[in-house]
Amino acid sequence: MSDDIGNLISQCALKNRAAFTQLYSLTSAKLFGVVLRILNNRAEAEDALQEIYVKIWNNADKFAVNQYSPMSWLVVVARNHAIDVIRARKPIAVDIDDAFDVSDDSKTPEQEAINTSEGKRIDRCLQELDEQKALAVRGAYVEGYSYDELAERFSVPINTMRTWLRRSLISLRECLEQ
Amino acid sequence: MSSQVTIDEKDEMLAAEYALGTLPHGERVSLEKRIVTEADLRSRVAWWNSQFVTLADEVEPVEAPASVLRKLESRLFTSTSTEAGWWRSLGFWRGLSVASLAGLIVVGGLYANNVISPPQRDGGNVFVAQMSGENSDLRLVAYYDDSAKKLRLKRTAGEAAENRDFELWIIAGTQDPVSLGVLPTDAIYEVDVPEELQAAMSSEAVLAITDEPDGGSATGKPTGALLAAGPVQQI
Repeated sequence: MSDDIGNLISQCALKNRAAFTQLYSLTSAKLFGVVLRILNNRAEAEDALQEIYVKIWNNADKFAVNQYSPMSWLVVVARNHAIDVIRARKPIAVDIDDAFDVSDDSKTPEQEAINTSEGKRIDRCLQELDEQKALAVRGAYVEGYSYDELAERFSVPINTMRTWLRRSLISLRECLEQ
Repeated sequence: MSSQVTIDEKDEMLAAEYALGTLPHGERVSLEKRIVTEADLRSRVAWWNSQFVTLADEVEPVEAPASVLRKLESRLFTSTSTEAGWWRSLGFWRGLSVASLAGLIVVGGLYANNVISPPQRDGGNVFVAQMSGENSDLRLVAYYDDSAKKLRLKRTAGEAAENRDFELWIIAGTQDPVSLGVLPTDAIYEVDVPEELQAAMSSEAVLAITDEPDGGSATGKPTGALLAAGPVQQI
């Protein structure tokens, strides 16, 4: 399946229309699921899906030189677009870019890496975070939550939320790079 | 792999937040601009993306409505049909045959209401056309007296956009459209029909208006959207 998708993307780079239609039929349900989850609005998700496949068609030649698996590349393209749409839709009123310096107080995780043989690396590394922080990272990725929404859900001020999340990202990176 | 690339910690956090999707709109837009030109930043974003992407595995697929693929195919694959020309598409001709009877009735009504003057019969044959389209509010009526060799046009609705022009075309049978020039802003306008096109102004011809760059199509063929069209009919 993964090879098939890779081949179909390469065929799209050569402007093979039949390959595009086949790629769409194999992958659109997954991408629509991803986009719908973030946008939470069918009409917007349908428009977004259309734009995403236009990007895929136009940028298929760039796939060969990137480092993702074929399906991952499609999901990244789809998710990026959906996030662009939702961030533009809900511009936040408060400027929260007050230069947090989190690098100084980043702490090394004291837990040992939980070395389960199953599960993906990101899942294992998320398990090393506090449950709440892991939930915030998942919510941001899967649901497309903004800092405002996360702050509201976890009942913390928005700046605290961003500091939290940045610290979580630093811990995650340490785990992921091991 | 790009994980060996190091960038300063502030940018590293922006790359991670960008991939996660939490960057607020303004910061996201400015980072996107930097990603285009800064290879190290780009590869850190790609690294974070590749780490996060498996989180999407838990998302259930949802079947998209068939209309999305239909729209995509017509949007992506119509470039060839544009090259082939809308004037060769079946849909265009079907639309015209429906419009033609309505056109005659409307033109008759316009005479009755003195919107356009009734044609002066100098013993010549008189032809009329009413041009309209689904995708614009542009409406024109035209009449042609083959003894005067003049096509008289009246625009009843619609104006060209700024820096754009309306261009008038005649399509005779299965021939490619031939330009009759750019319409001036005047609502009523007369154009001399060149000798080689006079024969074309028969009941078989179609008049059409397209949206074109200032001064008209540079290629000699319609390049912009078809705004209005109507068959020429003898009365």
